[in-house]
Order: sequence, then structure tokens, then C-alpha cells
Amino acid sequence: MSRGATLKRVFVGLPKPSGALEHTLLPKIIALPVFASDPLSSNAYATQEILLVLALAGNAALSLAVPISVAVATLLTIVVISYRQTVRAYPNGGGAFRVSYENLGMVPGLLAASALLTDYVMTVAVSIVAGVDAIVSAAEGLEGLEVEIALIFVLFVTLMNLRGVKESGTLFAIPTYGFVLSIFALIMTGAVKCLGGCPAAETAGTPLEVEHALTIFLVLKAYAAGTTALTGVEAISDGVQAFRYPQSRNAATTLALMGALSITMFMGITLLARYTGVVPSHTSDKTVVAQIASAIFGTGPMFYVVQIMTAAILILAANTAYQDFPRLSSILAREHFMPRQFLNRGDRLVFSNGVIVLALLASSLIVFFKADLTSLIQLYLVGVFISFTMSQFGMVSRWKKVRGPKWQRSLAINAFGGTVTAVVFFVVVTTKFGRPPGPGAWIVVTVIPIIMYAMYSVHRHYTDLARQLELPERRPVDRRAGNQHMVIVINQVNAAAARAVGYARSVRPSSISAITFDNAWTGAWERLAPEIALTILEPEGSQIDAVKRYLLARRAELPGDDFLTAVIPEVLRSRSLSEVLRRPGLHRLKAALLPQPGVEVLDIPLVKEDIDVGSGWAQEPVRNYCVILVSRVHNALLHAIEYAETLRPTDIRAVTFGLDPEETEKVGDDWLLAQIPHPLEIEDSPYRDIGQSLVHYIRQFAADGVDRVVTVIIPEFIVEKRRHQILHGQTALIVKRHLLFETGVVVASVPYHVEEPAAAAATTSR
Amino acid sequence: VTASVLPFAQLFNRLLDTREALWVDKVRTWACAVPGAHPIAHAEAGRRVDFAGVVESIRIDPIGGTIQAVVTDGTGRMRVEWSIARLTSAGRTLPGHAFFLTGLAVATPEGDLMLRDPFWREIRGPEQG
Repeated sequence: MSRGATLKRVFVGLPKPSGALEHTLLPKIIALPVFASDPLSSNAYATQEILLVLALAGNAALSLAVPISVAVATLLTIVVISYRQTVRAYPNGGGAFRVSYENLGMVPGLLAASALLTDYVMTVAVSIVAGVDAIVSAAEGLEGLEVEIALIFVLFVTLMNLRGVKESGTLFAIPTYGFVLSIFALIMTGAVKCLGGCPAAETAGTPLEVEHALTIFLVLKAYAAGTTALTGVEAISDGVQAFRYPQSRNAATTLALMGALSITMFMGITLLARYTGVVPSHTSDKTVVAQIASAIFGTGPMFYVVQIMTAAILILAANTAYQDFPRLSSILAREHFMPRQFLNRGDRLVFSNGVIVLALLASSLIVFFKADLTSLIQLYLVGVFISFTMSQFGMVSRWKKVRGPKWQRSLAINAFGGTVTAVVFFVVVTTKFGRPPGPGAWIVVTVIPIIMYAMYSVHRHYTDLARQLELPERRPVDRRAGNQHMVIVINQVNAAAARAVGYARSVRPSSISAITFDNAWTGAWERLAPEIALTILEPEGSQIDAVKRYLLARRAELPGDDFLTAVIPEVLRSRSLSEVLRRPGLHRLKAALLPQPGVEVLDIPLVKEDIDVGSGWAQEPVRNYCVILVSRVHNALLHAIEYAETLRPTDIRAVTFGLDPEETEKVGDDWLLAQIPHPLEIEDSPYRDIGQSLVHYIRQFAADGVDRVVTVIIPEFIVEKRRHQILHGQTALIVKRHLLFETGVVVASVPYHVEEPAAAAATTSR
Repeated sequence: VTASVLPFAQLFNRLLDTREALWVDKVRTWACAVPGAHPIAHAEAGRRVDFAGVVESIRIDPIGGTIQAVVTDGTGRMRVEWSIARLTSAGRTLPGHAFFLTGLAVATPEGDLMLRDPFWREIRGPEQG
């Protein structure tokens, strides 16, 4: 095992087989801190946000904090009830996106999804920076190192999440429950003390300057500020599939528990703030919670417990986003709105690509805004309320369609909730824009439509690709074995070139030719393959261009249904990936030939230590096993099967790896339906590593490269726009890397050219 | 001293074990604990076998009209063959699924052991506990 892999095991842990997924499901006791750390952490500052706005109207206005908090708690109750309905209706998760997409349409669905994704990135950046701020204000020596400390925390939370959902949840449960217990201790002790007269906070009685009249707008502004208590409530609805069975019921119970805890803590803190007479100030060193804790507990150990737990929960609020961003990305990828790579589960069964992308985006924000909380927090709430509103109205539409028992009551709850969250959304936007927008504001406002458009483009690409792969007019025609033409691209006349000659002869193609740039090889070639004409090319421009021109001319001479294969032999000095870097020209050539229409590329690598000087050069292999790599049954695969048949192999078999049970079952059914006259082998890949599993599979043939060869045939999509290449799983690249050093393995890339939608439509109409 | 060092040595070995070795170890431990199951390694041609195993691979052969599976219990491998019609009516099998199989082992021309149309039931696999 490589050093890198050992190091990965130390940091991330031992890999888990796919069958262990059920073990990673969360019991309610772990799910609560995993999904509720963000909403529970909001209680650390929600009351303070209300008081800070009311303080603009002077001391008397602070009494409005209690009724405003009741209104916020009512909204929270409505949202929780509504999301409980959502998790029951959509047990596969997806939350606001799923509800909006299925009931309101693609645009509202994408709006909800992009708002949520933006919000998750902001949650990580804001919560970690808030936690770092708390640490730096306690340890002034760390001032100036905010960015570095924040990035270390991002790395820490990322690594913990890469170790697995349950592992990170168990670790982070301690501070989350610690925070809840410490706040409950504060509330209960405060309540008991208040029976005999509440102790006064240190700022009690401090006169406030009236800067603003107490208007409806100011009250609305205070209400909007208090709705920060709602952030993260949607998290459970996105992650229903992370719960133990029965998933919907457990998610709904956890949601109710989270709502009850949040409301109790929020109202308890607000009431204590009111009765201890806390007067908030932007310039004060102490937060509202700290002032209450100081008044209730004095400066004893419990005061510090509350402070430490508050700082910890602020940082750990990021963990909720780490659960939901990767999960939502995978749901979007399944619906073809995001690249397929987001569907992949890593060694520990988490959607690791989503975790890493989230960490990179949040880190970029932290670096870009120099870990400045004020800049980052602007319009933080916008995404949350977009998703709340979309989700509620989506449910209204659903009740109208489904009309289950008591649907009118459910519809009324969702309609009311949707209206209130929509009003709050406008209040939030209006009040946030009322002050000069910080740099954070334009990020949310501009990024959401950009993400929506990007997701729409990705969806259009995948949908069009799927359509082209099923088009009956692009279904390949039957070819006879003779419809194969080969051109051997000679760099040197060496053992690899001899293998290529032997291989090409065994195929018995209609024609074989060879090309090179150095006429010094003419003599050696005459001795090696006298019957194969060698053409010396003039490298006008680059050698790659010259090869492409030659193949283009050759292609033009052949019937359209014939295959033209560029055979590329290469000798590798060792089994090290540095070989790829040492010979970039050859790899550039292979990459450049793949997009050539009507040209297949056959790579014949030979590692120096495998050269057997005793065996006859250019010996034809006795057995040639063709293995076709299958992901789905479509035109590209049928084209690759046709190609395999023209190679006159001893045996053709197709292989697929059972990464997704549903898809694998479909491949098996489609294989039988398509009446393909070759066996399909479905191999297990418990650790989801196709490259390694394929190598394991290939080794059963005991290929030696002389008598026995294995030709691995990879159907590859060639897209016109280079940026679209990233939307494909890069499986071909991974497989080629693993097979490059395997003895006796030849890799054939059979391209399937995907046209742009407009061109494809023109082809169809023709 | 040995007792205190042993856990560290085991941890170190686990860090260096290949994933395949870890998996085989897990399957063997699980299969041995299934009531009524006997190791594949002890199976003989011409005798009835009862074993628990995990499907490693499936081969759908449309020409032969069969579905063949290679099942392992960590001590060995057994080929199992069903006719396509029979299997599709009885249910589905995919790599990673765990079964309890009962049937008469026969030797193939290659010298491997094989079960044809055995009795089978799906059971909870090594990862489901």
C-alpha cells in the first residue's frame, strides 16, 4: 500500500464497504446534534440581534423584545410543523428543492436549491469566523491570525466529516449537548433566582441614546433580526436519508425535538435578558448571553462553561452545512443538475466530493473577506427564507393535488407559513438593503442566479446526451469482422512496435499501414513487417497535426461504417506514474486523436521489465480476450461492441461494477432486452474503486502480452465543448491509469461524439 | 507487555492491510457465525452443501439462458447457476447480496465446484450484522 494511502487511513480511517451504509445511519440521539447544531447555535445571538435593533429607539423599546420573540417563536413553530409534513411526504430527502421542483417546477426548484447551497457555504464561513472571533477576543495574542485559525478549523471540520457522518456526529455531539445543557442550567437557575427578585445584569439601567423613533419599520427590522433563530431549521428535511429506519418518523421526531429545544432556549434567553435588564451595545465586550450568565452565575465556573460551550457551538454550526451540502449536491446530481461526481461516496461512505467542494468554497470566502464577520454576514438570511417560502408554497401545491386526509388543514398551515416567510423575506431584504450593503450582499444576490443558470445548463447537457445515446438513427449498424483498418503510429521500431504488429496481424483487418517521422527506421521496419507499408510523414506544423491530417485523409478513403484504429505502441521504463510525465508527447497525441471523428485509439503499452527477448518479435497472440466496460446500455456501448467484434477476439465479454444497485439492475435488464449476444459480468466493487476492481478482474486472464492479451474496450463520450468534459465521471482516465502498467493489457478507446443540442436537433430533423 | 503491545500491533496491521484482505476477513467471520452454515473450503463434489456467502460477481449469459454467480464465504468460492427464467421469477441477485444456499455440489470440467439451481434465501450480510 502506498504511503499516501496509509496517511489517508490515519486521517480519514479504514475504508468502509458499500454494504456498511446501514451502519452509518444515525440514531435520533446523534442526529439531533448533527442536524441541529446550526439552529441551536442561533440562540447564542438571536435575542441579541433583536435587542440591538430595539436599542436604537431607547430603553423603553427594549420591552418589545418579548412580544417580538413570541412572534419569532410562532414562526419557528409553523416552519417546524411544515417541515415535519415535508419529511413525511418526501422520505428520500431533498427538502425545499424536492418540494419546489416536484410541485412548482424547475425554476422554483433551482431557486430553492441554489439558495440553500449558497446558504450552506455562508453557514460554514460565518459560523467558523464567528467562533474564531470569540476565541481571538479572549486571547488577544492571536489577533491578526484570524484567517489562518479559521482555515485550520475548516480543515478540522472537513477531516472529521470525511471520517463519516456518524463519527463526526458522535464527536460533535458533546459540545452541542453541552451547549444545550448549559443554557438550560442558565434558564432554570435564572428562573429560580427570579422568584425572589431577578439579579441585575452589569449593563442594567444604562441609559440609551434615542437614535431612531419607534416605528413599525423598526419593529419589523427587529423581528427580521430575530428570525436568525430559524437558520438551519430546514437541515433535517434535506437529510432524511441519514436517519435510521423508519427514516421519516425519526426525522419528524428529531425535528419536533429540535423545535422544542430551540423555542425554549430562545424564549428563556429573551425573558432572562428582559428581567435581568440587559442593555445591549455594539461596543460592549460581552454578549447578551454572557451578561445573563454573569448575572445568574457570577464569575464562577458555570459562567465559563456557558462561554466555552457557546464558542464551541458557533464553530460546530458549520457541521450542519457539512451534512447537507454534500447530500443536497448528490440529490441534485441524481436529477442531473450537478456533475455526476457529486454522487460518488468516498472511503467512509460520505459524499466526499461535496464535502471537499464545500470546504474549498467556504475557505475561499474566508480568505477573500479576510475572515471579517461583518462582511460575511450580510444577507446571510436571504437564502434561508427563499428556501422556506419555496418549500411552503410547494407543499400548498402538493396538498391541492394529493388531497389526503385533513388536507385542508395542512394546506392552511403551509399557506400561512409560506405567506409569513415570504413577508419576512421581503423585510429581511428591505432592512438589509436599508443600510449600505457590505461586500457579502452582492455575493448572494449575484451568485444565486448564476448557480441556477449553471445547474440548468448541466441538466440540459445531460438530458441531451441521454437523448442522443438513445436515438434510433445513431444506433450502430452491424459490421462484418473485415471492416477494420489499422494505422500503427511508430515512434521507434522496438519491442512495443513489434507487439503492435503482432496484435494487428491477429486481428486480420482489411488494411494495415504504419506511419513515422524518422526515415532511419525504414530498414528495421522492413525486417519487422515487410508486408506493412511504412509512410514517412513530414511534420508540417506539429507531429500531432501531421498524424491527424494523415488519419483524416485515410478516413475519407474508407466507407463510413468501417472502423479506423490508430494503434499506438509505447515502451514504459518502469511502473511509475512519472512515466506519464516523462512522455507527455505520446499522451498528448492520444488525447488529440480521440476527438477525431471516426478514429479509434488503441494503446499498446509495454513495460521494459516485461520484454521477453527470447520470444519471437511480432508474435501474434493466440488468445485475445475482449472486455468491454459497461456503465449503461446505450448507442455508445453498442458501438463499442461492434468495434470489439471486428477485432476477431477469442472471447467477448462485458463487465460492469455494481456501484449503485438500482442502476446495476437496470443494466442487467437492458442487456437482456437489447438481445446482445455476449455475456455481461457484474462484478462487486465493495470499496467503489472501479480502477482497482477492473485490475483484479483482468488478472484472471493471466495475460502475458505474447500468447494471451486482454483488450479492454472503453466507450468514451467526446463532447464538443471542453468545459463539458468535467461533467463526465472521468472513469476512462482512471481506468487507463490503472491499466497502463498491467502486463498484456491493450486499451482501446472507442469514442462516441456527442453533438451540441442545436446540431443534434438538425441531425434528428434530417 | 505483550498484552499492552498487541492492540497497537493489531491497529498497525489494520492500517497496512489491503482493503480486499479486510473484506475477506469480515466475510469469513460473518459466514462462520451464520447458524447451519459450513465453510465452502470443506465442500466436496457429490455432497450436499449448506453455506452462507456474499455474491462477488454475476454473469448474465443471454445465449446460454443462465445467470451464474460466484459466491464467497471468505474460506473459498463457489459457482452457482440459475436459469434466467427461474431467477427472474424468484427474485433478484446482485454483487454484495448475501445468501444462504443449499444444494448438491458438482465438479465443473475446470475442477471448480458448482451448484445448479440451488435452494436459496437472502439473509443479512456481513455489514448488516
